[in-house]
Amino acid sequence: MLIDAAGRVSQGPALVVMSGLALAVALISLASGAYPLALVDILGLLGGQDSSDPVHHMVLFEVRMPRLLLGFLAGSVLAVSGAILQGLFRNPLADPGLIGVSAGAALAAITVIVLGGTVLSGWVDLLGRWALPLAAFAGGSGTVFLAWKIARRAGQTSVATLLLAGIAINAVAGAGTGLLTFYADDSELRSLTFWTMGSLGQASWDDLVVAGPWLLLALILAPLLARPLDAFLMGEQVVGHLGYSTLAVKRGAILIAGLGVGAAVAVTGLIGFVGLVVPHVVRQLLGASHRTVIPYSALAGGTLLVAADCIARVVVAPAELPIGLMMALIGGPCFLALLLRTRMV
Amino acid sequence: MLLDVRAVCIELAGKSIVGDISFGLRSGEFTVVLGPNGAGKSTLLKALAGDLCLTRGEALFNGRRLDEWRPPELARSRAVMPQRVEVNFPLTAREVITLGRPARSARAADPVIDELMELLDVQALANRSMPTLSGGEQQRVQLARVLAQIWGSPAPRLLLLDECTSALDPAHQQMVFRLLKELAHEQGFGVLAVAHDLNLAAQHGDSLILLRSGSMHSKGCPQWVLTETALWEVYGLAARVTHQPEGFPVVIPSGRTGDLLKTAV
Repeated sequence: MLIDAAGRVSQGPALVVMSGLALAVALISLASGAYPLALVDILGLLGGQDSSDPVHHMVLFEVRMPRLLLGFLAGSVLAVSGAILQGLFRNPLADPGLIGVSAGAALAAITVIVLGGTVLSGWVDLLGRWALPLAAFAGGSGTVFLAWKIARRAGQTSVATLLLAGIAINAVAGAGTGLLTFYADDSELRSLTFWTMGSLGQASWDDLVVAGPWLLLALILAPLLARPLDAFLMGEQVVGHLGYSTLAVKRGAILIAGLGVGAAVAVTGLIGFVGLVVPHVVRQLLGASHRTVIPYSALAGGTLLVAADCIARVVVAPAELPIGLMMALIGGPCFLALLLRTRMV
Repeated sequence: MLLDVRAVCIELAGKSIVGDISFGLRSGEFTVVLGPNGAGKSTLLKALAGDLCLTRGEALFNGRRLDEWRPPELARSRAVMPQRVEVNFPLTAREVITLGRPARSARAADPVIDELMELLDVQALANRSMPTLSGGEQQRVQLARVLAQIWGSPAPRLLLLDECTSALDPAHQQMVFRLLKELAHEQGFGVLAVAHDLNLAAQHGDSLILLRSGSMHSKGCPQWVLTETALWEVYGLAARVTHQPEGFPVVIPSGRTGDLLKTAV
């Protein structure tokens, strides 16, 4: 049976289809690009076979592979963070982008890029290659916390306040980014563009080493929040009545979302819509329980981002579109279609 | 004493909502808290549920102060039904009830869920999404979740219910209050329920607590508490109280003081 008693797609078939899709997209991603690789060669190289052409080996293992892994991890984490924040705020619109988390992380990263040589040189000297991702992480978690504090008044999380706070935070972060752009020199401007539009083009094993552990940590910890987040869907008081520590759940959710989005933004720049669209689609198809939404959002988010990345580097080859732009192009219309098709809560 | 409320005062934003209330609830006792809007019923219940802090006084559950219980331990012994629970996400009724069983494995089928769905007449709604259910249906699903939480737990067991039948039709109101009475009398639950329906409370409650502007007006068995004088004093309600052969009083309201209609008629 493909549809269960609740009118949802059954989990077994869904898992098979989505894993198959993820695998297919991964192979296509390894094959496509400015230097196309044949599927046979890829499978041979992955199987440990020596290639006659050393360029094949280099392209696959030094360029495509880290890019694929980073894209998948970042997409998973963005989608899972979206799912967590939506549960926490009891609102399907609480995307990391809408409440300003991504903008906060990006602002922090850009601050380090532009001021790293002058005002913040101490920070950069102290942390080296960790300076940027840690700043993005701090920026991300700081903003979630701020949005949460502003939106919560007298025990109630006000949805309108949350979205308005998000607009304000986005505006302030945008102004900060603009100001820094004004002061940036040419080379800094080039890295700035990367941050504001998002890209997997620079992905390397180094990036994976820096961000990978945080992304993986966020993915591993997120399912622990599934049951308390389900309780959150019935209101904060019910969480306490069921014996969970409301404060611990909130802190955990904020930490995971801040950690994940911060780390993702640190290596990929700003990529929107994954966190909004993916959990929404998963909920429509498979139900709203976080025990389902979190793992399937991870799978679908990773697949979506890798797919978008494939398209981004094929449509205008040999150049590449920024993936953030690509996601907005895909995600915007998708989201509108969903909005028109289903009743938004 | 299962629940021992001693000289409890609750202030919200500097304003006294509940002032100096004391009462006790034994295991196996079903007590209904009555009173006009704003009398402090919900505030009192929220404080006992741990949502609000007591300003003064103390509340003991099974001999231990409520704030000294570890939350997971307390959740196995005390279940709370808030006045309003809105579920905006498409969780099914069964998923909501399952949330009441945090300690149990999520995968294995839990017979308690089906038992409770039958008791509250929600089997047919099991796979329906919560936002598509009517207010009364949602309320019965929530009640099943609340009961699931302490179902099968060892004593002590305490149920705190805030207007748990406000959206139900008369037949389901009777069903729920009869169930609560049975749980108290046969399984030793302590049940403290806030309600507005005087007759429902009188018919099923072992004892009633009548609140007026944050303090206790009277407490005791329904015949003793629900008198024409008390209703006039607390609600400003003119009513006739008759007594049924079964032993409980029935309130027949006839109007309110200063009622414009009365002068018009």
